[in-house]
Amino acid sequence: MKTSGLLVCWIMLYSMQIMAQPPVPTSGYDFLGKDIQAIQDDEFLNPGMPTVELGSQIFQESEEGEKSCASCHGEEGQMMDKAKIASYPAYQKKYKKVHTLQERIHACWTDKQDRFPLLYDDPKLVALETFVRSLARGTVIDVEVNQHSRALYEQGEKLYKKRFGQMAMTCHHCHVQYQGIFMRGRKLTQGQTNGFPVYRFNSDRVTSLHRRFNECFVELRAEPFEAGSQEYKALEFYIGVMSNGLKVETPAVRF
Amino acid sequence: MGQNIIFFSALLVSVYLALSQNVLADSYCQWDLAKENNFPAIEKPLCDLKGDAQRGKKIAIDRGLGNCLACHAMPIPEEDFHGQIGPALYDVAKRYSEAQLRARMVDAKLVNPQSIMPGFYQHPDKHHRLAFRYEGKTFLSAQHIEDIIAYLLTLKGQQ
Ligand code: HEC
Ligand code: HEC
Repeated sequence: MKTSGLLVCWIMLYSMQIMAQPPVPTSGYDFLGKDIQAIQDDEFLNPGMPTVELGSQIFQESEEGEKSCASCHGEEGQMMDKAKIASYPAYQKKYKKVHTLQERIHACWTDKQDRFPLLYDDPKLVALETFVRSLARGTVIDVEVNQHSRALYEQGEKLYKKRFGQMAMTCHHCHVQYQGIFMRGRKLTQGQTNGFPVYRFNSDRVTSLHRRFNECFVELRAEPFEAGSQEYKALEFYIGVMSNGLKVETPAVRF
Repeated sequence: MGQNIIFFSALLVSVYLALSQNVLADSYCQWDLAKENNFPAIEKPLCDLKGDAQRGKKIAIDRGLGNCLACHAMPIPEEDFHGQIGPALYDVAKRYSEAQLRARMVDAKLVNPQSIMPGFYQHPDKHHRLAFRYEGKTFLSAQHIEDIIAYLLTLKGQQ
């Protein structure tokens, strides 16, 4: 008798907990057909792999007098912490700001390797980012909001729920409210970031996250922000938190 | 000499700006919002234009114009992939009057402030971060709107 009462209590508490939770994060992967999923999963077929390969070459390169990335992080990057890679954008104590993974890589590029600065989304940086994040394939994403990064998170949320452009729609409309629904032949996903940089069949290239944001802005007939802008970083951080619990899929394969 | 050129181009720019603003002010037709049985309504056709249902149907299909099919199912079986975001429109003319449809088409947010349906004839100044190439432009022209309304008025659910 006592045990069944406890059981009922437990079931009630458990279901309350489920109801209180936001919608379960779902990867864009789950919206793809089985055949496309198989391409993403196959190391040899995945068309994003040449970019990973290019990134790993840049990772090992050094000109005279310079250190290569590999000299600190291991020839194949094996000395990097996968859990940490899966936690970006993350607050950096040393820099007193949130870095995206690409910015973190660039910080090594300029500070540790003393190289000439590159623009955000420079093809070299995108290749490096693709390589580094691919090392954490399968690791669960865990982006943390703390007292230093709360303001950026809130800025991201505001942008995510702001109407943009002539379409006057928000990211939230398409990727939360109408996820899973068809918009003239295209099924809307949650717009998660766990696969980025992703290979896109439409453009036959690897696309950075900020470039993907640009495309949604163009769709909205809105003026995009710049790659690496404060606004895109805030969006990346906010969606990063939404992606918590999903696994890193880089290089994912999408349309 | 150099100063002259700068002065001259500044003059050109300001004349251009003045003209382009005039064009916008002239081409955007004002409308009056009324209530019909407590429902937002715009009685008079935009710019007093007359709509054409055949053209309206084409605009509803066209991905670069209305693209209504992105979000609505309509009695247009020859087109694949009707959207599922908004309600199906097979019998809208039974449910709404012409004036009510006009308010909905000009700016769905007049009817439902939360609506995600684009304001097809919303004033261009009311958009946030409008892409430069659409500056000063409405989503559809007044003629487009009247054409679509003419088409919607044929949808009485008989199909
Ligand atoms: C009008 C609809 C619409 C709006 C509004 C929209 N998107 Fe998208 N977005 C899409 C479509 C369609 C895709 C491609 C299919 C998919 O992944 O949902 C996409 C894909 C994405 C992806 C890639 C997901 C993946 O797994 O590859 C991201 C990230 C994204 N959007 C972010 C945003 C952000 C940020 C905003 C707001 C600035 C936004 N979207 C607004 C329609 C929209
Ligand atoms: C991005 C999505 C979207 C697009 C594009 C769109 N609509 Fe809608 N529409 C909606 C939604 C959602 C509703 C439901 C009510 C609301 O949220 O305002 C709606 C409601 C309507 C209604 C009222 C129907 C009812 O049963 O109450 C009409 C009429 C309508 N739309 C016509 C059109 C026409 C005509 C076009 C193209 C010129 C169009 N819509 C384009 C999303 C859209």
